[in-house]
Amino acid sequence: MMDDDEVKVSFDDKCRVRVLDIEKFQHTEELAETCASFVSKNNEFGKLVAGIVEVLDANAQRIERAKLKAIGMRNKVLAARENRDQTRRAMQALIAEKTVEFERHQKQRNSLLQAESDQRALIDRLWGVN
Amino acid sequence: MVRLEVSQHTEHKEVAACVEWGPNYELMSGSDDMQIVRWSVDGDMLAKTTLDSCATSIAWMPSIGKSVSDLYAVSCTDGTYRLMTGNGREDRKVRAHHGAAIRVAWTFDGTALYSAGEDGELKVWSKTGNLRSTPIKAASPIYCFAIGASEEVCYACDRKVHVSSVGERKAQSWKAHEGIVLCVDWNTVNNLIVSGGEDCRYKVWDALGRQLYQSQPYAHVITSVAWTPNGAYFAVGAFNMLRLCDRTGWSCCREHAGGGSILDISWTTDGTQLAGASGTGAIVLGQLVDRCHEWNYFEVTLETPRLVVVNDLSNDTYEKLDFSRDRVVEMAVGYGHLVVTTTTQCYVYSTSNWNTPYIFDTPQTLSLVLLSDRHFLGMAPSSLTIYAYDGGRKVSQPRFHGLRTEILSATSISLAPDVVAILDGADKKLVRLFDVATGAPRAGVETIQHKKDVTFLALNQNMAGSFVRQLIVIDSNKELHVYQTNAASHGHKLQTQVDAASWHDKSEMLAAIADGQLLVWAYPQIVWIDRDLLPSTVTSKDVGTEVGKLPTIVSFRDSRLVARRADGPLVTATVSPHPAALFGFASTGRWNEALRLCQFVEDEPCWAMMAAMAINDRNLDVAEISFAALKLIDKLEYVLYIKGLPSEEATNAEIALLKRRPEDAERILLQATPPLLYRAIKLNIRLFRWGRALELAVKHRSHVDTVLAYRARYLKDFKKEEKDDRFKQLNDSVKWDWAQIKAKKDLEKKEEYARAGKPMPEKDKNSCFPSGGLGEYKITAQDRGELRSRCSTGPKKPGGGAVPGWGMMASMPRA
Repeated sequence: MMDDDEVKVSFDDKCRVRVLDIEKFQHTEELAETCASFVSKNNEFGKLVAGIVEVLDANAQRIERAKLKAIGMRNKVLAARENRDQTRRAMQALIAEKTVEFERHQKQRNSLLQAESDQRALIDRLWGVN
Repeated sequence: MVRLEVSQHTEHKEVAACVEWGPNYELMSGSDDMQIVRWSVDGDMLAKTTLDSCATSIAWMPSIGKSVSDLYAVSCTDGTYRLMTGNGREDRKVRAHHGAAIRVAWTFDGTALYSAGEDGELKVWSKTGNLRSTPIKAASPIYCFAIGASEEVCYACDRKVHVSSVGERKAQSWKAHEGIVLCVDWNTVNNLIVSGGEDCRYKVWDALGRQLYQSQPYAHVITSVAWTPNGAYFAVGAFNMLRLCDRTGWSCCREHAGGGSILDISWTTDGTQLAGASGTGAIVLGQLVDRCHEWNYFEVTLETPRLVVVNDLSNDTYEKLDFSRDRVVEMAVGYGHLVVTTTTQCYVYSTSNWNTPYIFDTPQTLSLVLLSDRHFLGMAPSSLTIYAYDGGRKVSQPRFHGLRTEILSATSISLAPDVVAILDGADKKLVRLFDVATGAPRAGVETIQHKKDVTFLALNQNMAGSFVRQLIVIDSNKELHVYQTNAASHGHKLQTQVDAASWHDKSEMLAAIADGQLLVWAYPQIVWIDRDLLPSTVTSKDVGTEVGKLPTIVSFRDSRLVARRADGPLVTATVSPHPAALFGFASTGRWNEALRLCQFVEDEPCWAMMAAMAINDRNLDVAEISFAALKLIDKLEYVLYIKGLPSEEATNAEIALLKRRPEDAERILLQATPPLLYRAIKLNIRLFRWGRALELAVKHRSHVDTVLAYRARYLKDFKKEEKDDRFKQLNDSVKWDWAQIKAKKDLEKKEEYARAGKPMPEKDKNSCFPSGGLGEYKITAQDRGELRSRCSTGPKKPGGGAVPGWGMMASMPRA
């Protein structure tokens, strides 16, 4: 405030009382206008920033997820390297077991085929005589 | 292929450490959450008991007789064991070990309790919990032990397995595994030990510590092993693995037990359901399914615990037999019937009608069923019962003092249509025989005493013709012996190194696998007819590569023998069908057809079998032809001589002589009316049984001079001095001369011919009274030539339709 200044009361063109002189008043009004526009601009900027932050946050989350995923994958890969041997061994054991079972059936089949051919030979012999 | 059907039930919050089946198919399980849970057979929780310590093992006291036991022992980690009643009340708490008590077990009769602990001690306690003795003090913890059939204990300590008999000092131990032995079990039926250890293998041993099987190393430590009570299978538990193995060691199936180590396994007494305690706290229940039996063209399979499927291969139809009430325990098919037992009932089907079985309740579960022609035998924990197929009627209950069914199996009981043979529990050399109809010990021959421990026995099955019920046994020396059960007799050793043996289902054939050879005896009864012929009735075939080592015989039907190799596969071997056919003909009296078959086959075993069957049936014409075919001139001549005899008694006596039964022969002669005294005396003279001949003569006051005369001639021929006092004495008092003896002989002969109504032959070279014993009974050179030519050409004559016409050797001209 201009305390040291004298307060000059004046009238404007529309005969309204003015405390400030016209010039100052105009400045004041201009200032008010500028302020309002600044506030609104500021708000707009705030909104913009918030939007950007939101987008960034979402991206960050995605990145975080991807990161975790990558770590998981990396762990998995590491584990797979270790597990592979184990799985292979388990599978091999299973294969060995199945092979043994297969051989068992193979042997049984062979002996049955042998028995069948023996029976056929016998039948042929019996037919041959009669 | 047998496999396990597995289900899991969780109630414990911590590791389940032990399981045990109690009576009435109730399961107890103990866990580290200090609780003991009681389960139903289907895996529903019935009751919970809380202890103040963690249970490590549970042992139900065995039920003796018909009373059901209501007491069990629990060992705990605080070194105590507790005696608990069935409703969960703690009867007694006994401080037993320093450190944890690891295992408790009852003896088979429930009179003593054994406990083992971390302090390496094994203690014996009375039924009420008083310490009796501490037979074993080992350096390291005893993780497990098992009690054998004869009160011996087998325990695992560090890497070794020890077998020691309590009360005696003798003990054996052997290094069993590369790591600590964690589990061991000993079966009372087959006397085999199975062990598992930290080296991830399981191994099968015999009681002497010889290794019979070693598994491959698995991924994890073997934490439990358990035999089925009947000794047919054992189960192996490890992390993520529950395995069912055949007694020879090969693995039948593997189940992923769904995480957690199987820390303890227990089988029900019928051996068809198991429970496992899992490291996750779950209880694993497993049931044996896919068991398959074959008979004729029927294939019977247990598909699920309550569903049996019968496949009739003759018309490829399937029958589904549903047992909704209880699960199936045992089934057996044969002789036109299928018998299925469930835990409470028994179903008897006829193979011609699957819709209307006979159903009856059984007070105890029948865990073993043996079939024969008309009856079947069911074994329950406290009794053996024989039922008739017809209506499931109870026929008899053979019993004896010391009958222990838990050590009996199909290899130690055999059922024939008229006899049951059971191996004694206490004395394994003793086989007891019972009548099927009454259940009483068999009249005449109650027991058969063998010289070694019997490991396998079997009775022949047929009932046809003049059958002799025979018993084969394989003993601990792997020798095969055959015994008669009709009359007391010595056994006859047939073969050594025998792995398995089996009777044929319809004929008298006997097959054995010995040392890689398949041996078939066409007619083992020949042992008591003419032992000389036994080797000719045996056919052998090299099957070493097919059957491998230690095979077992699964079935022997028609002309097929099915054996199981020690590593699992079933192997079929063909056996000549002729002996069975021959037996079929001969036992129904169709001798002509039998002879034609023999002539067609031209096989030595067949002819030898024919000869024996003919002699057994007193069919001398057939015997004559058979001996001729076998080129056994001496026997042929003897048969011809027998045919010339005038009286039936004389013929029978001579046949008995041919069967090497001089006592029978003499008895027949003396029991004839009137007694054929001269023949009896002469028989003894021919056998050089001078003392008996003289005894008969003196007793009947006739023919004393005959005996003396022959004795004098014998001494002269052999240039010997008289040493017998009685002969010396009589020589002084009795005078004899050959003319008189001959006259007397001729008179008796005439009388005998007259009685038989036959004319006496004019010139009697083929006399029944050869004047000089057998010494003068000679075949002339011409005879011999004739016989030879007959022998070589006779049986091979083609078109032998008129067989009896060919057998005219009886009328052969004689010089």
